Amino acid sequence: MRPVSEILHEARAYHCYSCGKCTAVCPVAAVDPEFSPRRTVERGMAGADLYREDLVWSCVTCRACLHVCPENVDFPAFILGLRREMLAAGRGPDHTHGEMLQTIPRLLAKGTLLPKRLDWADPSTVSRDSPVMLFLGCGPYLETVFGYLGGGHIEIAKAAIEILNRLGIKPRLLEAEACCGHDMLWTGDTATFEQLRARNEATLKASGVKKIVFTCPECYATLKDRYDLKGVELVHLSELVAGALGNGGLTLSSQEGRVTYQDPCRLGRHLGITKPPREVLDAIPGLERAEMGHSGGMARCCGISAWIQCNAIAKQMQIARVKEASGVADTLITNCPKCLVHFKCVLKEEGKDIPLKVEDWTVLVARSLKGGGTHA
Amino acid sequence: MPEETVKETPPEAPRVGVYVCHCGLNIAGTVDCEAVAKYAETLPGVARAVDYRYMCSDPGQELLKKDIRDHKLNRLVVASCSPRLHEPTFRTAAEDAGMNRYLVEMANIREHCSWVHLREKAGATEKAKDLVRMAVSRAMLLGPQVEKMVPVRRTAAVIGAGVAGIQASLDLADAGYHVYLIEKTPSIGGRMAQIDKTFPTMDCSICILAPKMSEAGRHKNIEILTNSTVTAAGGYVGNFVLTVHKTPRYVLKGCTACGDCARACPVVAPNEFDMGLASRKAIYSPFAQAVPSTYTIDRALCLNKGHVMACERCIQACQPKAIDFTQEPADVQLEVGTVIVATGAGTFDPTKLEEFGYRRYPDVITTLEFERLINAGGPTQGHLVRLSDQREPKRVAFIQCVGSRDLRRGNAYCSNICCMETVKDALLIKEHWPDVAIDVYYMDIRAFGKGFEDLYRRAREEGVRFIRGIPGEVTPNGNGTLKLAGENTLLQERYQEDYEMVILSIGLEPQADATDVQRVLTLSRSGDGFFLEAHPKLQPVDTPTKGIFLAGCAESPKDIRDSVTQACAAASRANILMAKGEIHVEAITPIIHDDLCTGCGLCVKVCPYGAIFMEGEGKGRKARVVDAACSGCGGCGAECMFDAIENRHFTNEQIFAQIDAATSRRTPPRGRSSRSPATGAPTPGRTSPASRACSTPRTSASSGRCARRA
Repeated sequence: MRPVSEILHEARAYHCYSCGKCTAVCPVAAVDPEFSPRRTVERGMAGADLYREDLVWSCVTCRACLHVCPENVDFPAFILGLRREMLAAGRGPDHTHGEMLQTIPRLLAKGTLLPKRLDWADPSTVSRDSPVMLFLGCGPYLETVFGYLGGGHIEIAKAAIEILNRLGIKPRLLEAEACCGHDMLWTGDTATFEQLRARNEATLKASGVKKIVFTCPECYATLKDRYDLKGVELVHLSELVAGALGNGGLTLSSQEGRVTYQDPCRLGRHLGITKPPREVLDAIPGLERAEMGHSGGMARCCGISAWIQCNAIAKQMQIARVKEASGVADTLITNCPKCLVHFKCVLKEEGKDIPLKVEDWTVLVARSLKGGGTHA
Repeated sequence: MPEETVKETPPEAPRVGVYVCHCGLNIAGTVDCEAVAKYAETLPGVARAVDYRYMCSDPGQELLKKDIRDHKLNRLVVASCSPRLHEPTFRTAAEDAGMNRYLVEMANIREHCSWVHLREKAGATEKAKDLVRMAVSRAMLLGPQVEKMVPVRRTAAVIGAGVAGIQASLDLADAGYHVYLIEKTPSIGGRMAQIDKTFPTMDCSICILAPKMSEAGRHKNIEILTNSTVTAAGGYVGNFVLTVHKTPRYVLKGCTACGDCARACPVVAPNEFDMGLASRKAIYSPFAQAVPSTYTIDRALCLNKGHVMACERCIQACQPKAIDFTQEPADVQLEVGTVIVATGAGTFDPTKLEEFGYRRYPDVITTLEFERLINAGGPTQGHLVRLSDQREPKRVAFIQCVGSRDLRRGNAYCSNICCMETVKDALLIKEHWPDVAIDVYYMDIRAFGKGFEDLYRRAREEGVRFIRGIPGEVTPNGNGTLKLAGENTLLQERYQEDYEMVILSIGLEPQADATDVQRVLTLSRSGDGFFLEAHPKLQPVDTPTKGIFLAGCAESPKDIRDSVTQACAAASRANILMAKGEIHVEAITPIIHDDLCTGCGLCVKVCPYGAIFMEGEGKGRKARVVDAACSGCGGCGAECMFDAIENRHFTNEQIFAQIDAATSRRTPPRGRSSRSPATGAPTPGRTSPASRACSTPRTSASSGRCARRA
């Protein structure tokens, strides 16, 4: 395994001032006193062996630490470096849900399997040759796996198409779209990730799409930061909708409710998109929106990343977050397929006494389109 | 203007002395200096070649002088370090031995050779030989030069009237020079006037500043221009012309500063001096001790627009009848010999560091806002109260390094003063309210200066706690208190503490208008945005532009003592120029050949120093040079399509000779020189086009126009 010092160097960890801000904002450290990005870096610099299961897999890679770090130390990147070595050495994480959610990307990585997952789509709402594509991501699979939570992912996809139709776009759905590989990447399975990347890059190039619209922040962040898609514009649905508001563009009809918005880690901190989703929610008449104490760049993670390490620590993080949400609103608006699952799950079990509903942003906005506004 | 004639010397065969310096091991550790000297001996024109340990030393210089006499040398090549270091040394040595200073050439075999080829000794030695061969070729063609003397005006301009600007002005004025002290706000004083107490002395800041302000105000040699900014600057060292835009006060000198007008004025606005924590009127004096004390009308706020008088309350209230709305802005031209830039610094706005809640929670304030609150002349008459409910806080936290030492969302550098500022502030609070609990959250405490460590010790003695671990967030508890959460990095434990006031120790940064000042004065800025000094160690208050100096926070963040020290230094540097009353101009400026100049004006367009201009009309339109402004960059000569510009001491012939030497074989074939016939004799004037080394055909020999450009 590569020396820890090498990985520390790549992540600029030697620049650490040991100021402590990272540990202060880390959602894992908030519930687990043993976990501290800063102490990890310090111990690593002092020569400790950081290849420990309890350390390497506990980070949720949310970048809260990087957001406040005065020296730009990329702790999640450092963790990723360690994870690659750990996985290769057979010391991988606890995969949740029987490793099913890692199996699907691995199957798709093989390159020849053509998924059949578009039956739910109404052909009149999509187009076979539009230059604008809607990247579905794992939605259709998650619908199946998380049926016991009431699904909701196909609903997101349908809602996205409805919103795009209202914006005058009939998006393309690509049959051969494979998993973006985000979870493979972040669990250190570089080989599978590279296969998925190669497959998707080829598919997208051959398709000739010029613009890709995302509902999933992880797909967006992965394609933007790790893929080579020259000449293709990538955009989140909330950016498109926010841009169409006002000036005689999109108007939204009234909704009731006291809501608060959960910034997904990949959308808020990794991509810096915090305003557009809020602008759209604020354009819905009747909707009362409050901010949680930790919002925007300071938002707290939903507790789990890449479908690993679902444990007591994760649950505590989730409980803390839903408590924070219920303190200011009745409904938590999520904007990520995984946040949706994680919050629904905790509210069904450990947090069932917490008075909070969860709804997806895209679904809410699509609902607000009914009967409202002209299309742009 | 007649063409400059240089003293012609009778042509004689050049006798070049080549001196290859070891510079200890700096050069000799990589380059075989003895071999280079031996090689130099074989070059045409070289009468003597030696290698020596340290050419710049006194014995080294004596060696040069002795050899010049004993070996009748009339050119010198010193192969050593960069001319930026020792060109003056060797030029002076030559001059002492009776040789013209400009007959010395240097070959940089250190920065350009030994230091960049440390592990390639053989290659470096060969390269050093090439560099020496090039230098000898040029040396053969060098001619004597005479340096012009340019008069220096005995007047100075100081831009910025904080403590640095005031100190520099007083020093120069006391030395007898007339000083224009230019300040953009209505009063002199700057930041020091806003601060309550100074560290480490715990002096009342305005109390020790006001005497200097007063002295500057009444000094017969200081002319204060407030509400004024420099909008253009021309000229050159010793002869600058500054255009100053003066915004009128609309109040006459008869103003007694009684304040009746302000009481009558209906327009209320935040007072900048109090960081927006208090208000002022449209007619106002920024603070009680303002110099000048004359009130000012802020026309942007005043209800009277243009010449339309909607409100006359101040006019009616003013007993001495000092209000005058007829005043107009004016642009004045100031002719000065030297300029000192003392424009100060701005402060970091912590709003973008969302984790600290500045502007979201009123009880999170900055250290500068704290200074105004604790100051007896401030908005709360010196009572430290929370902005939310005006109650005195019982628990106060300071957060250090806000906006400083921050690569992501702040400034990368350390702002110098914030540690001591906080230590001082903590002691101020303890002085008045000993029972207030004070915690300072830090990464490092930098108490580096005289008396600083003592003050830090005193703070700890008084019970101020220093906790190592910057909070990750400030959140409201809902009961009026704020919770700070972080990691105590020394205890390796997370903390959560409640406070009633949180003070952010913000850093300094360049002023918002630094870009304008830079543009007007053609200053350079360092990576952190502050103005760049000529050399960080050896010329800390000079700028690369001769005659312009820096003082105070304009150059980098620093405290009052260091600002005053720099101000005295800048005044001294300016004094050197003005005391002599004249300066030498290095003889590397261009000569215009009128017979070739077509008056196209391209040279003027490319000169970054405004040192060349067009004179005359029609066929008589010719380029003319302002030698003192010229830096000798050669841009004009390179641009001129008609070869009408000859760059003194860097003529085309000399440069072509170097190029030919560089591209020739190291060892010429026996019996033939590798170069086209050398002219041998020095050419002080210009060479006729026909004898140039360049072989590109010309359209016409008489016009000298290069065919490439046709």
